[in-house]
Amino acid sequence: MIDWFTTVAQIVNFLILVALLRYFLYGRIVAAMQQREDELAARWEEAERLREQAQEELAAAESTRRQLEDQREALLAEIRAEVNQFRQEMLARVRQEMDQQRQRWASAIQEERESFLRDLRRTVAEQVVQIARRVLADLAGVQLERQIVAHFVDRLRKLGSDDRAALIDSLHRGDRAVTVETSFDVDDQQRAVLVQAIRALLAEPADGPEGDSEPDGSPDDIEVHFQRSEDLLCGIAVSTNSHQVSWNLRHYLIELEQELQRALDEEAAAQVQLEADATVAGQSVRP
Amino acid sequence: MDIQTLSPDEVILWQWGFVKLNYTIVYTWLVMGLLVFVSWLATRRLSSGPRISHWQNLLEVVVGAISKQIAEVTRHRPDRYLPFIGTLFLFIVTCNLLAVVPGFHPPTSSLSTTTALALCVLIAVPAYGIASQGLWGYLKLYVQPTPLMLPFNIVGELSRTLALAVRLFGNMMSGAKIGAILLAIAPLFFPILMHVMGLLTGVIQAYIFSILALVYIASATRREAEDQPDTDKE
Repeated sequence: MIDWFTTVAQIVNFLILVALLRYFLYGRIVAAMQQREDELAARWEEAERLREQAQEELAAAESTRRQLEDQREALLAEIRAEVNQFRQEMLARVRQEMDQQRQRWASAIQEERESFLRDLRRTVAEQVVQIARRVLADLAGVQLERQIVAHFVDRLRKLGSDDRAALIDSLHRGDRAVTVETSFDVDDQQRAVLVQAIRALLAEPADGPEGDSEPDGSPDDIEVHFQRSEDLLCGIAVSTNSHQVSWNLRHYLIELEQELQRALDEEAAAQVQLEADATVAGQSVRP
Repeated sequence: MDIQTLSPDEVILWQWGFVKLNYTIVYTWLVMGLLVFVSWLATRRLSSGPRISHWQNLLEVVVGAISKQIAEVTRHRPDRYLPFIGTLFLFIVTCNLLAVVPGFHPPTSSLSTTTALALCVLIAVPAYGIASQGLWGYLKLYVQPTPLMLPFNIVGELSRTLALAVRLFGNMMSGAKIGAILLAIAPLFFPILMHVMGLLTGVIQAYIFSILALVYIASATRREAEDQPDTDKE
């Protein structure tokens, strides 16, 4: 059965309950929940912002770290380059010093060789002279000097017309004095032979372009001076003021010396080549 | 009240003319007082921080669940419907659950109470409809899809209200009556099982009543939801 009074009363009761609960329950609870949600959202946003900030700072720190790393690498590369350059410079300096040292050694060796050759030449000359003298003395029974003088006189006789003309010509321009230099003492007989040979040489007319011209004076007035010279190696030299005719052992010795020089040069070149090969091999082995 | 008494309306405590005070009204007041007291108790020191009281936690769970249900059914923001639908549910479920208390006579087993609640729904449906899409927009719903449907729509509106009232009344009244009958036949154990069943039935009935009211209101405000889906979606 429906009791209409109760129904109306219940409607009123229900509406009152709606109003009361709306005030005491829904409004407050919903507001509190909303506030909590807002707060959570704010905290979430704050956390998100902090996270982004932290990520930015992390990225900045990472960038700084990478930058420092790059700088470190650049510095290391620079230091390596400097060390390398220093090494190259030091190597070049050492090589230069070695080259200089080698050149000093080479020049010292050269000097030593030349000195040796000088000594050798003198010694050989002395030996040759002694041997020749002994051989001549033993074989011919004549003194070497006499033989030299005879040979020189023979040579004067066989002198070419050009040389003789030049000698005569120089004699005419000068003071008509002839100097005879010898490496040994000449006795009077030999002097006479020499003077005679010189005068005969200079007296005869030259068969040159001016063959028919007469000499300015007699050959007898030509002064012949004798002079001892240590520079001549076992020989004789006849000289005017501008020309000279000579014979001595120097030519033979120079030839001998040249032969010796050539042999020594070949030996030295072979030695240098050996050293160079050894140096190249050492450099290729060195890292 | 004995087994012959069908309704708590008939137990009259005081009467003056047509004004009377019966069990229905008295127990309704009791339930109202209880609900308001618990609400006041829980909301007097509300906290919006991470630490909240147990009462506040309980009510937040209940209100949150109701709000979520409303949002799912109506696809609107639940604020507008929460006081009406929430109060409907809380009142009915409190009455039904208190039925297990000896000496308590649930007001929902009174056809007057269920009729009153159904009438409230009957009024609320056009009220929400008119509020959301205007008088003309709401009235147009009765002639859709064709004007021929007008009488059927009106009959449907009234009959579903009647169904609401009778369904709740029948379930609650039968539950109470069956309990009383069984108590007379088999005094031991069996009534306890029936009371347990009654708890389940009570909650389900409260849910059904609230959801049906919500569906009716939602159907009356549907057009607005279809026109503005983005602003109204949860």
